[in-house]
Amino acid sequence: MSHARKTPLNKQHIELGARMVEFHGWLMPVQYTSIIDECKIVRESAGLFDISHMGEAEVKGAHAFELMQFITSNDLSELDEGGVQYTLMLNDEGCILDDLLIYKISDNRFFLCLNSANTESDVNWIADQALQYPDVEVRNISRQYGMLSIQGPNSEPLLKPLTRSRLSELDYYHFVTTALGGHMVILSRTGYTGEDGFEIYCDWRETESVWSQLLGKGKSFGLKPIGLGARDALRLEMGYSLYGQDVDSTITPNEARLGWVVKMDKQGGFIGRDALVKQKAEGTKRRLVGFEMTGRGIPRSGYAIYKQGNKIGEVTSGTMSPTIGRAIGMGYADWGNRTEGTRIDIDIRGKMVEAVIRKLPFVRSNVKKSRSLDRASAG
Amino acid sequence: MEFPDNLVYSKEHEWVLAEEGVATIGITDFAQGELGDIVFVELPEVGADLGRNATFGVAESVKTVSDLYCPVEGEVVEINSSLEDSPEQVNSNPYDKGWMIKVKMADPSQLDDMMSAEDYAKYIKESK
Amino acid sequence: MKPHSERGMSFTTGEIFGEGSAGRSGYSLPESGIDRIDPQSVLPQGSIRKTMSGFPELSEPEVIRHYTRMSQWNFSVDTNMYPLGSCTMKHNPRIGEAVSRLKGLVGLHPLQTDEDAQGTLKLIHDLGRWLCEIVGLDSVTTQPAAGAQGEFAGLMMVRAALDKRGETRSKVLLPDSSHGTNPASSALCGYGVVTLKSGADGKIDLAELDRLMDSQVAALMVTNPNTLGIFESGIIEAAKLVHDRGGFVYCDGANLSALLGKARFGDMGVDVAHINLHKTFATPHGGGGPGAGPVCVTKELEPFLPTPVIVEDNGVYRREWDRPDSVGGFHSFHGNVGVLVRAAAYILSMGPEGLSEATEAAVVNANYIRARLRDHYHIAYTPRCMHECVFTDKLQNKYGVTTLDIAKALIDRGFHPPTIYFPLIARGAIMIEPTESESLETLDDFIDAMIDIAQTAKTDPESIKNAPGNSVRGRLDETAAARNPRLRCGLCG
Repeated sequence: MSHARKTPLNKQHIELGARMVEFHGWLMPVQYTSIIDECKIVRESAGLFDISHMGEAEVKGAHAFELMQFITSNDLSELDEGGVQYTLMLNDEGCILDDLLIYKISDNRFFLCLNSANTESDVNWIADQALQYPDVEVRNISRQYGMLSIQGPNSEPLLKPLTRSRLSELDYYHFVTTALGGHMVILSRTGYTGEDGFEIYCDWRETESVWSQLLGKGKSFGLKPIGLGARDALRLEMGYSLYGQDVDSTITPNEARLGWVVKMDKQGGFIGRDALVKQKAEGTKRRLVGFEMTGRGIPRSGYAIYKQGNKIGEVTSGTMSPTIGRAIGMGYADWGNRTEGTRIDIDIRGKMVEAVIRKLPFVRSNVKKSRSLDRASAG
Repeated sequence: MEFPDNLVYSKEHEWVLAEEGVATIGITDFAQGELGDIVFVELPEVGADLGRNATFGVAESVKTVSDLYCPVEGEVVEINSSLEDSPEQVNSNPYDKGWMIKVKMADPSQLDDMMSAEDYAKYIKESK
Repeated sequence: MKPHSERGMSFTTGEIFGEGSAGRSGYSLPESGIDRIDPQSVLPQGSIRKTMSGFPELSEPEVIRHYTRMSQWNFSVDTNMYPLGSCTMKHNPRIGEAVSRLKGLVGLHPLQTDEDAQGTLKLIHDLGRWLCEIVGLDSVTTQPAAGAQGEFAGLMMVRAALDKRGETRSKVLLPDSSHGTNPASSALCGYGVVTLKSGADGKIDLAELDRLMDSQVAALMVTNPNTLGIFESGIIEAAKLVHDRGGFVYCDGANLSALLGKARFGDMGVDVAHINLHKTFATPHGGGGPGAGPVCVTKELEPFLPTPVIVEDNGVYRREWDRPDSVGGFHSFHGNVGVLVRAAAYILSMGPEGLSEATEAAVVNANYIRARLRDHYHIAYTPRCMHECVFTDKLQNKYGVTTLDIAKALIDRGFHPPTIYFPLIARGAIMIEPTESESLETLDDFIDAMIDIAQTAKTDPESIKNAPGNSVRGRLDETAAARNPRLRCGLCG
């Protein structure tokens, strides 16, 4: 095959009969049995994803906080030790370089989870910005970490026998460093499916052992391996953007419905803020919207969006939703077309097919409710 | 994987059952497996004229869209409208309930260029 | 024939020199095929032993029985509670024994290439990272074979850092509660020792530190919690004072069991600390055999670490030898790797939460003993204790009973004596550390024994003073042994 990189579980995927595809230079399992069944398993019991292609980086040093606060849009001062924050890195034009998770280990130490295709450029960007700060070290540690995600209502009971950590006390968007099945891991209550679940960062060489212990212990909880195909459908049902598809470095947070992770008033400002102020003053021209097909057809990335015969935008993601059984999509439409129920048409292979604007998410979120209200926004 | 002997096969993974000048066309067991869960099938209208190897519709899985090719020239005389509500029949029953269109062939000799079950099985093995 | 059994299943044995019989042996080897050489023909006359009378000749079962019987006279953490303060005699989990015997770990030779040894290098590297995380420091060497060697290595690094700075300093500051190894290590490094008198609360007296901390002080060496089992709450101020005057802060990690997951040396301003894996991380103490005293240091001291240092580069581990500022080696390769494996197993089987729980249990256990014995024994210092508590024999002195007597009386009641007459600043100290291993029932048994001794001291002090009576050897005459030592066996003349 190609020169695509392999995760530590390549052999396991092949033995499980997965269909392997190349995804951003990585050979990944797209499905094991059926995308529809796999989505159902995650929504009803629990699914295990190999997402070892994701990038990890560490930023540490006396000025690590100042650096990260300045190069990300969310307010890092709101994050406590043991907390995880969803945030964006913007360029000077206010456009999104990447969306990422920041894990706060301490005031001078942060662990980052980055999109695989962006990891190298992200780390270079952070390192460049770090030159302005004395004593900050930025390291790409992606090759040291495998990453698994366990998602679904059975995730907590399933993990329980493998760790001493009190999982019932671990809030959404919080993490612990713990021993899981005899391996030291970072375990966070996060995910990309809208279900309760955990993401596990473990040593690259130990990923296989963690994976097989989870699959073994998970049998009685209905745990099954789940491919990237289902992961993509599940995230779209939740209206979560995928970098490189729904957002990229030509799109601003306001356009991408990500204004909630931009804290314009935070102290010291941040890269891209001036551009966002300007955009706000001049008016944002387009916005990411969700829609559901009422006519027959499935929207796909690149299809044009029309309203009363005029082109108003383009689809970025679309699928047949396994959970609600209807075709859904997201795309950018001219500003002012976001109202629930607005009639639109999608140009599917030259045919206008009716659709209607829907509020996101398409499927109700089942993530664990935080005990503290101030994290309610982290959805 | 199953490839019935009474059918002929194309390189684009369609099968044809020829009976009295009418070709019933669908996609093979191999093709449905590769596509995964089929969630939408778009078919032509009855009466449409199709050229040889023209696209006659699409089959969509959760993730992908695939064009469907008509291996023989002719006029569409019937479509399997049950696929509109139950596209999964293409997965579960590709040679029977999962059929797609029936075409009145303009030139039945075009079938001679298609593969036998044995040749098609070999073709898949080689292209894998 | 001497009787081998005094009391049923309790066996005795004499000196091995009196056992066996001439001509008996425990081996049988085939001829080697190499001609015998007469020593007379190759060695100088003076080097040849003329007679060999009295050298024991025994069969294999005789040798085995001799040593097994002697081992049965001994006390171990496997037989009962071993409350030796500051020595932290935890249970040694058997999973550590199992994994340290894994074929791949046991069969590895240290001279194999880094490529061959990736698994072991990774294990040592991981353990080092976890230890650094636990104590809040940046880098580590696993070389030192015990705490005292760790102290020596740590002070050598301090010395090297000062040298590099172009400074020569002459002394080390030590609280009067410190472990005896602290002044010894300082002296071995060429430093004079200045004693820092503790305050009335048993902690570092900051005013006294301020007075003594001058430009000649290379390091302040502290133990936290200190040997009285008291947390040094002024450690951050103390460290700042020392740093401001160019010194380093060394922390003796002997009492780390009180801090796991609760407080970190690095956060307290400590620059260098050793960790006794055979204490906090439940590896066997091994009777002075293989131990491990890894030393963790800040970034500033990292260049001076002993070689080799294991370096990780994109998931590949290698041993780095070429480190020009290194203080050199303290042990071959990475120290006692078998001990490191056991410690890693302990950490992984406990997990961070389990380690925290261990600390909580150790502290609660010590305070339970302290609370239940407070009416029977004088408590050395008043504050609530951490993982160990210190009593004295003050209340028993009026009956002529001393700490040594109490310790010996405990043997008759089935317990190993606590650490006694230490720390030095508590007269007649009895330092008890129960660790997290002991159950409530065992703690109660121990406390009941201590109370029984306190009662008996009032009613029948002689029986305490003559203890132990139940051990194979009774009270040893330590004075006679010191005055008239016999340090060689009869055979050696």
